[in-house]
Amino acid sequence: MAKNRWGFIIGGALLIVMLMLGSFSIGIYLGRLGTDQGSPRDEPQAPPPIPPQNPLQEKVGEDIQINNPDLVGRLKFVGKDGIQLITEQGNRFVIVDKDTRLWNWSGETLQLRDLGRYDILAVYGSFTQDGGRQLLADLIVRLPPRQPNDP
Amino acid sequence: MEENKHPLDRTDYWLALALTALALFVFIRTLTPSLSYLSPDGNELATIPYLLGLAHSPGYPVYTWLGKLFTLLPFGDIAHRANLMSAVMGALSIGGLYLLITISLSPRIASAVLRRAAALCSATLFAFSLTFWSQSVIAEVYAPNIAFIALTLLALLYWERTRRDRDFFLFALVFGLSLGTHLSNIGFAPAFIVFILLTDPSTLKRPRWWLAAIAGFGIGILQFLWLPLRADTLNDRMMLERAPVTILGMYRYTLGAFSQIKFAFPIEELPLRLVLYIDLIRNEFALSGILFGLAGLFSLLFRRTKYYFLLVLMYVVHVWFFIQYRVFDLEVFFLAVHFIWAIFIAFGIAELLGALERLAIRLRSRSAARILTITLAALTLLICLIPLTRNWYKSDRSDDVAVNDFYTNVWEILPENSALITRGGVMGYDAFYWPLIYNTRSDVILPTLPTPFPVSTSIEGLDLYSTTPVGENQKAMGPGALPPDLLPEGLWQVPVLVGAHQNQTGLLSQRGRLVLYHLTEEPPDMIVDSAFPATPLNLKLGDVTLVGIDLKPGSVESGGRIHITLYWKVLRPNRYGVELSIDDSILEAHELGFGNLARFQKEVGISADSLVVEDYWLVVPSTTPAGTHDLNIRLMGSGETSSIAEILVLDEEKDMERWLKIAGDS
Repeated sequence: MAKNRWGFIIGGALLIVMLMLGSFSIGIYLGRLGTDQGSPRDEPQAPPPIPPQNPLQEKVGEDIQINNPDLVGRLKFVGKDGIQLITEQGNRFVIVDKDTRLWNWSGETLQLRDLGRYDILAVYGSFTQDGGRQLLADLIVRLPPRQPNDP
Repeated sequence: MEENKHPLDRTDYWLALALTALALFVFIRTLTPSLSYLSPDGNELATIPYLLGLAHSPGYPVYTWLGKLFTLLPFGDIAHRANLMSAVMGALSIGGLYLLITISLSPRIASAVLRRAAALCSATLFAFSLTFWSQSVIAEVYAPNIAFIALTLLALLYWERTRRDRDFFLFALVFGLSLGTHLSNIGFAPAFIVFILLTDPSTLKRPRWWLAAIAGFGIGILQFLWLPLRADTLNDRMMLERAPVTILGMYRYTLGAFSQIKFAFPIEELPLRLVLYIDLIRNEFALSGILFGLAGLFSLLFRRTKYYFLLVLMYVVHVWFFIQYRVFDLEVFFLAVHFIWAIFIAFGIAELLGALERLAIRLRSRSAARILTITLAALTLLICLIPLTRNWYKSDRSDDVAVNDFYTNVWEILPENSALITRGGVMGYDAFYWPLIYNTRSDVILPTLPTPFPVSTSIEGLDLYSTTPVGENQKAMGPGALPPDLLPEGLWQVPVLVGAHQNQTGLLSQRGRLVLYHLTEEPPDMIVDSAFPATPLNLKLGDVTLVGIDLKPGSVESGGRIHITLYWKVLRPNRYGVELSIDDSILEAHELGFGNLARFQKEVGISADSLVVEDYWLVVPSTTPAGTHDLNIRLMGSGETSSIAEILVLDEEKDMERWLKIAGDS
């Protein structure tokens, strides 16, 4: 036991630091995004289909096909320069920059801080950088919550 | 510190083999049959090994060479064989994980039966966790990389036992080679150094040991000489910008690559990134997996301090690096970390089982205690098989046939001496795969295949087709973007063939929808004054009426195509979404007129009494069972689905035979 004493002390300190960092981070997260929002009752799959004949299409013009988002998912995190979504294919990170527009379903402008955990978002953007592994959002639309009888 | 003198016996090898066989069976049953629709760069990684070319950064030489061996297998097509490599290497990782855990678990934790149960359980949890499973059924680097990590650790622990220089050489060689499946493995080096110093500090004073280490690792990383040797095969714009033909280029292609996505978050973002990582572990192993892993960390610290430092340092460095990695699909990068976490989980489970076993031993009856032990082991194994059933549906990629079905029909449809415009570089391999491997339709020009910078003269005078949107307002940005002056302005994109989309409407689609367009200077014939469809319907769907349809032929081989003509009466000009499905399975969704309607109205004009005609071929997925099926239509937003025809689907030819026949006979 004595032989391992320094091993236990250093290893134990490392473990305590890891646990403290984890707890601290969870605290920050809950502080920023709140604890009162429940988990989504439905799976992230099968996002509501977006019909093209909606008022947003007129607002964006021909540049963006509103019914054909690049990504649909539920909001998991809001970071300084991006958001993390839970999608059918896993967690996906979307870059948000100063040119990214953020609207609600009626076309009103939102700020990132207006978004709540598990909001359903449609992202329109372009895959950039190496191997297309980053999605830079041109437009993010907060979709209306799913109704129980939605297909 | 506690040492392992004879940690494994024959039973362990048999159990590792059985676990490998189980994982392999499951991965093969759920394997992507050929090219993948869902993987962003998988089709490049399925093609490059066969050609012995150079993959995207950092080049993956070992992956390429191993892949070449798999492409020599005598069954399936090349993409199938590349997918199979992931299945085999993924399964070997699981056998390796079992052996690693068995070596690591202290005999004092629990009896051999329960230790094995804990090792089997944890390895099974990892095998059938969502992300690892998803990477073991497509052509990707992650499953082979986990196999190399397992092999590296086994070699290190073997050296720990023998202390022979030649065994250390072997470890160093495997570690060097493992950088050819993922360069991030270099981050494990500090943990290995600490472990070596804790095992035998005196080795540092022996020159032979140093030589063995340098020689082994050096030979392993010599693989990267492959980069300048095969740099001439690159056809991706971004890869060419840092072509590995100079020392600086080599650095930029490997360690210096992806600089904009490394350490990409400010310090105040790191807590959230850490929570994101914790959430990813929860997705893989559930909350119970986190708790067992935490218990396992304490167990490791007190029972196997040296292994604790090895594994925890490997773990910490990787987590620290990848929580600051800004990529779209982050979870695959944490697979190595999940692999290590599975070892922590095994320790946690073994501690629990050991505690229960010690309670059982207090029973008076020895046979009762034995029965209890065996029951505990069996229960543990059963519980750990839950992810196998729970994740099967999500992980099963055996129906991912969209790319093959689409392109085999494309090759059949394209007229002689036409040009097919596709995305360039890594994103273009859905199409490049065929001519590069099978020389399919050598008369068709793919201008983005030899170079990401094709010029307009390369397609002059050819009949133009495209599988990527080329209109001015269409998105064609990113790494596979076409040069802006390749095509004349104002071309019409007339849909010719529409592929099935795997029920993925409006979801992640880096490669976009599977549509073959004919590019024409003249507007398409999409408006008629009157029509007499073979099947009149007069189906009112909101503001539009489907007057009728023509459908030819009456029967179709699965994986083949039907020619469909829809006649629409549009009562109020607007944008309408049309969705077609076979029975309950969505085939495709598109905007009425395929985006041409507004332009047609503006440039040609549409009178109020006219009918809008949509005329195209529709791919029937090769997963569609033989028999009669309803073809359904729905106007998106209206919610009502209506049956518009019956299709007789035949299944006389096996999918793979059909794909190979078209690939080779074209």
